[in-house]
Amino acid sequence: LTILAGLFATCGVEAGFAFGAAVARAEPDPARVAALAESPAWKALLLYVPRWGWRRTSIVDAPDFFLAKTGQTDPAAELVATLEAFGRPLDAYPKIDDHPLCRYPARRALLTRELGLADDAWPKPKCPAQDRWLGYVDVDGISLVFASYFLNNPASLFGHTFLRLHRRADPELASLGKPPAMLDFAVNFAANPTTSNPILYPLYGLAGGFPGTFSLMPYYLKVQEYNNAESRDLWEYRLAFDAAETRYFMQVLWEVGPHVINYFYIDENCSYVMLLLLDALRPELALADDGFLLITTPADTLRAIVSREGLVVDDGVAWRPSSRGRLLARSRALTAEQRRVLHEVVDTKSLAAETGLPALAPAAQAAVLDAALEWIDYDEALAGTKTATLNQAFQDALLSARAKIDAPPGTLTEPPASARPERGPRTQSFALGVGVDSRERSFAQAEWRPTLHQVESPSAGYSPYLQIEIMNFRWRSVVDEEGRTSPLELEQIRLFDALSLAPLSALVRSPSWRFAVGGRRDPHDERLWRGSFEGGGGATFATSDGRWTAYGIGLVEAGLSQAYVRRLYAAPGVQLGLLAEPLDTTRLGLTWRTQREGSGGEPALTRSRLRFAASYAFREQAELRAWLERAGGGLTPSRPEIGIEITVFH
Amino acid sequence: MKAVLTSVSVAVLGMFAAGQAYGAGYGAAGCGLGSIVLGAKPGFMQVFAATTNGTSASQTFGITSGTSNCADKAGAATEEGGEEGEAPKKDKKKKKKNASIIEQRDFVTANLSTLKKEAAQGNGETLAALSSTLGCDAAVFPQFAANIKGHHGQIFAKNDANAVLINVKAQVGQDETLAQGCEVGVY
Repeated sequence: LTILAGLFATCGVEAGFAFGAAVARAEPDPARVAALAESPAWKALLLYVPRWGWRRTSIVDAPDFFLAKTGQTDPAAELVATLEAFGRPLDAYPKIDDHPLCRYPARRALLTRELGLADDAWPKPKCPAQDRWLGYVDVDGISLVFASYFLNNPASLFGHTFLRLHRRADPELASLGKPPAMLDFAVNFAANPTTSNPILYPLYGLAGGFPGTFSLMPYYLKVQEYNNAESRDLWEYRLAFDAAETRYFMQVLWEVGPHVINYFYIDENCSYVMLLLLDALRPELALADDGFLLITTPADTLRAIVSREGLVVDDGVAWRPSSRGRLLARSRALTAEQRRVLHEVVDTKSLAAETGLPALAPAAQAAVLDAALEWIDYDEALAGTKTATLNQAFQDALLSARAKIDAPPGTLTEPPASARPERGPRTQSFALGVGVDSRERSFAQAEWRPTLHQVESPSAGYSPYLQIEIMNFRWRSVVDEEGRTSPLELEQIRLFDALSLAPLSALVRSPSWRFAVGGRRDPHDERLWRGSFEGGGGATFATSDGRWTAYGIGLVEAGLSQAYVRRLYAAPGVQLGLLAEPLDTTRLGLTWRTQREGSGGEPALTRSRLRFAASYAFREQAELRAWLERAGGGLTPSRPEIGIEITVFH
Repeated sequence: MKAVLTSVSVAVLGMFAAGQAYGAGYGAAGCGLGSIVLGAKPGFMQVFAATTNGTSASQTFGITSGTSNCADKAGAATEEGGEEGEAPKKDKKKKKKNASIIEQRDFVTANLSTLKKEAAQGNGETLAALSSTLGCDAAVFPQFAANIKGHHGQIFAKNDANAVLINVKAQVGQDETLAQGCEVGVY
């Protein structure tokens, strides 16, 4: 007893409250604790979100992620609480897995390192659940995977990112060879919609009403989902994290993974959360600091990752083609004659002599059959256990014929690097323009385009056939005949504006479509406003290199206008367009649109609009556009409007 | 509007084979998928589903153990190996090369349409992964692929993952090289 008392006397001053040598060793220097609390590393591990240059709040909304009551907004309090919690006796928890030392392995590692503590500053309990999990998800590398946009599938308007965790090659299983990619793991962050009501769904989504959760699954499920069920290309970016960093990352996932993060469509979404996770792993990356203020698109997060020197390993980008990508690649690899046979085979759903197939050499037959099989994959979106229903007998015949030919499938040629999703400008842009309007007044205008891409812009990094705009605002100021300058006034809002052109070919026959909702100055009287929505469908023809595109769409516009007594109006019409991209940097667009507009009780009138625009891109950062637009019909005669604007992507 | 828009039907919940997942070949987090139908949500909903990315099989299981039957399976093995949280000791002498039955079945279920195609072609990443889950050495993969290709009609006679798996294993068993180079497990 005396000896014990003596021991307390010697270390009692420093660790008066503590009751064990282990805790005493974990008593860190207060100055270092204070510095660490505000450090990027600690905040990154708590998934603090940068806002206006300062990380104030954690993105994690689940209170049980934090040890301090104020942990979501007070990193210092959370640090103090963590130090206190790590010092709790092991037997304070009936299940050792619930002890903070078992729940927060990454925090422990960070604190030990940053506070200069001994490795055994805290006891090292065996944490069965964590050990099991880390043993099961036995990985030593990480890739970021981007699921591309794909026309005619609105689910892929913005793309998506998730992580692939590469399995560690087990020396005991060396004879099996490298672990197959398909058996790797995928980590996904997604919302769990609690409603499918089409009104509530977007509202909940915008307001963060859906809980977002992490999930872990075999990579093959993701490949089947994106490549086959949704026909979206996957782009894999192997990141330069070694086995030790990957292990630390798994500890980060162990801490964060079980907790809910409210999902916001436009900023706190899947791709942003992936950036925060990578920042937690290597805080100096500061990926989330790349100016994601209001809107985060997956492609922009990919650009942030690619912009960090050495983060993506050399030659570490891989393309995993969609069913459509495979079909087009296999079709491109054929000779003209073989392609003719392919079209014949697909058109007649037969392998008979008339198609010309049996006359081909065996290897050529195999190439044609492989392309036809991809056509069925694409046409019927075959994935999982789904079987061909429209082409069942045809598929059986193809498979049976293919199995008899001793020739390997051809390799698929990867698209050029310029087609990678991180190429092209960032999705948010600001435009300033000047010109002369249809009433011969000079004007200046400003436009904010938060996302994503206009069909009049050069297509690098995007699809040449896709336009998606959300919350696009345009303001304009005019100088009238007497030289008075009006203030900058809102002229147009495009809440949602999509144009999806799907070139028709012998193999792919999807419709093109348009859908838009917005408000603008009324063409009858610019002092008045109208709100409208429009939708329609049509067809597109394009040259195989995508440089020339022509489309026609029949559409109906309807809405409310202050110019009509009864407000409600409808305007069916057509839109024809011609798009050309003679150089990668230059795109020309010619659009003609005519509509018959009527409102109950008033005579209908025809309005038309012809627009020509030429756009030139400077090195993915800026774009110069000139346009000429002439409105015809309507009540007031008008002159052509000409304008020029410069757009900066940020 | 249909409440069930898409997704995976997890038919065999809670079925797990203790001791299979841990200390064995490269299985893949199987959790007993009955059949898998992946698909995009129809029309309008896609626009919004796009931004939440909850489109289909994404939410099969939680990220850590204790939240799902799948990861529990990983855990069950360890508990068997002793409360110290170590790998089962009884398997120390030689690690099994094959994945568990459930993992094999899940793999075939999720990839059936792709396997059918790659088997007829005689090569492919998914086919190679199947070979690995059946504990086949990389060196015998060409033989594996050729064998499956040669018996394509028989093996894929029924669009049933379980039947396909049984058929593949039967073929492997009848082939001398494959019987030696693979370790298919039960069946």
